Amino acid sequence: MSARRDKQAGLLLDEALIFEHGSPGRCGVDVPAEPGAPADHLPAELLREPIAGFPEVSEPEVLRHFLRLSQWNLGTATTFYPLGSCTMKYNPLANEVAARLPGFAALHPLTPDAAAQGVLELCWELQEMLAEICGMDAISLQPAAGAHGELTGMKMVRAYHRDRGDARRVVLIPASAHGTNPASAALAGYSVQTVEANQLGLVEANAVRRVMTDQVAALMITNPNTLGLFEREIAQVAEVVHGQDGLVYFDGANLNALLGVAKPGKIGADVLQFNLHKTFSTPHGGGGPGAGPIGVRAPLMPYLPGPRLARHGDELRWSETPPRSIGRVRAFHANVGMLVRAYAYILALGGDGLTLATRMAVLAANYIRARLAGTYHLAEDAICMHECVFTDKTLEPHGVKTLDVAKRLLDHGFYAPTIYFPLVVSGALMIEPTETESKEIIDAFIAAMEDIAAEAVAAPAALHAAPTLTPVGRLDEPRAARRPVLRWWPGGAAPSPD
Amino acid sequence: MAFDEAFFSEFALRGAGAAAALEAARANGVLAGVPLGQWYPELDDALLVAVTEVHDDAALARLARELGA
Repeated sequence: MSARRDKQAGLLLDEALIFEHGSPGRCGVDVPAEPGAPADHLPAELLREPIAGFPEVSEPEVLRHFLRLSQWNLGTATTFYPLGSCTMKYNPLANEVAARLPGFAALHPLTPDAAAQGVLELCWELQEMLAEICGMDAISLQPAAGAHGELTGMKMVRAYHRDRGDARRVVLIPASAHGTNPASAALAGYSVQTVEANQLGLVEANAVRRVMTDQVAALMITNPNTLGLFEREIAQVAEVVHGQDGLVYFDGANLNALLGVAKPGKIGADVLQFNLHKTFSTPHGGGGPGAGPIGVRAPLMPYLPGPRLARHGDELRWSETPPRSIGRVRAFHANVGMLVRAYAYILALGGDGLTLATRMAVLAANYIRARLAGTYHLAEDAICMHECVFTDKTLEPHGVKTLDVAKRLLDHGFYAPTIYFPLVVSGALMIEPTETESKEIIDAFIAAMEDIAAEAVAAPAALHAAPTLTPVGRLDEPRAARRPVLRWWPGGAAPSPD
Repeated sequence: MAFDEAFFSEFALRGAGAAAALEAARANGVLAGVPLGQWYPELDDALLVAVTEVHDDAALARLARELGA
């Protein structure tokens, strides 16, 4: 057998760059030819000069090229994706059908409210659902991502205190918080003070009490925290903050551990964001679009982004702007396709289904934690919520690091867990299985992790060389970051800067 | 026409009955334009029309009828 290239045989479909396909004069689409040259029909400013190396390819070449590239990615549609903190649950295809209904997908954002009652009703009902799930008094669907929700929430906190003539400048954030929290607080104009966790990685009310002053606008807390542990003193922590007229920002990124089990609004949260692309199964897709609605308790309602939906008889309209609104934070109906998917997901599961999802997610994480506890070092040896965190401590004597484990998992056909996060854990390996994987898949993942641990002892050099079953092997990541090559050049090399 | 200038892919129409015409057209299933008064109070009798390349002659004729042309 003669393969066309080393890696192009059977089902091994290597793929060249698009610039290396095609041949001069080949084109993808035939259009009726006009007599004469293009210059006979088009003004000079619409004509372009030939571009060196510009691909001239047929339609099947284009289709195969991009389809093959798409298959070089691991994703929830192809494999188990235990990326901690990201809740990479399977996204039901029924949600995609709902989002593609012409009444949603083809709706123009400037359609008059009277002619868009379907989508407005969906937004209204989604607000009600999210409020019920989290025990909050009002929801804004505007923010387009989790961190955008954080920023929106913190701007509302700022407006709340400013209205009281109380120019507070400090936000407290536990060391185990999501990395976006300090950034959001800083963008909203605050300085950040860290609250240290106790030996179990948890925030104690006493620790907050020591740093809480009348200069603190808010505490931003992630619960469960980034170690996957429930903050047991959350209610007492909130009491301490509220005692000095501070507010509690509850990062809802880990809400997949709480559905039907705990309502943030009942345990002290004043404002939180939902990551619909995590908890409510809307795709993370290529960095977006996400959706990060926020929920607030009554004291913050006057500051919500506007306009808001209001009922006028039988009709819903974007007609209400809260009296002290921080303004609009997103155009039109927000990332409405994501809202449709989340709505479909919540309807499909119902209250009992959402609760079961959380219970299964927590069970799966604890199953992995218990099965691997004898093989890998646990960051905190405690019952976890929806994710568990190991470290590379037992691998270090063999010269193997977390990065090697992550790379070898790719050879086993699994996406890697989150690595080196949370920052408070050295060599962290953060595993979040979610509720959508079968026991067989989880067992296969555990077996792969056990194989890798054994390999670390028997043949650590092989781990350093991983991955070997991917289109490209171990990358020189610092060089890729510092001297990125972002475009193709004729002949394969960038021209010299000289 | 609201403006006596060259236009590209959309144009503004102006007339005392613009809002009523829009509402009547909508009742007949035609979203005939975007009222401009929401952004430009001085143009509260104007609407912006964009038909793109996807509509055929019959659809354009219907739009014109709805707007009382």
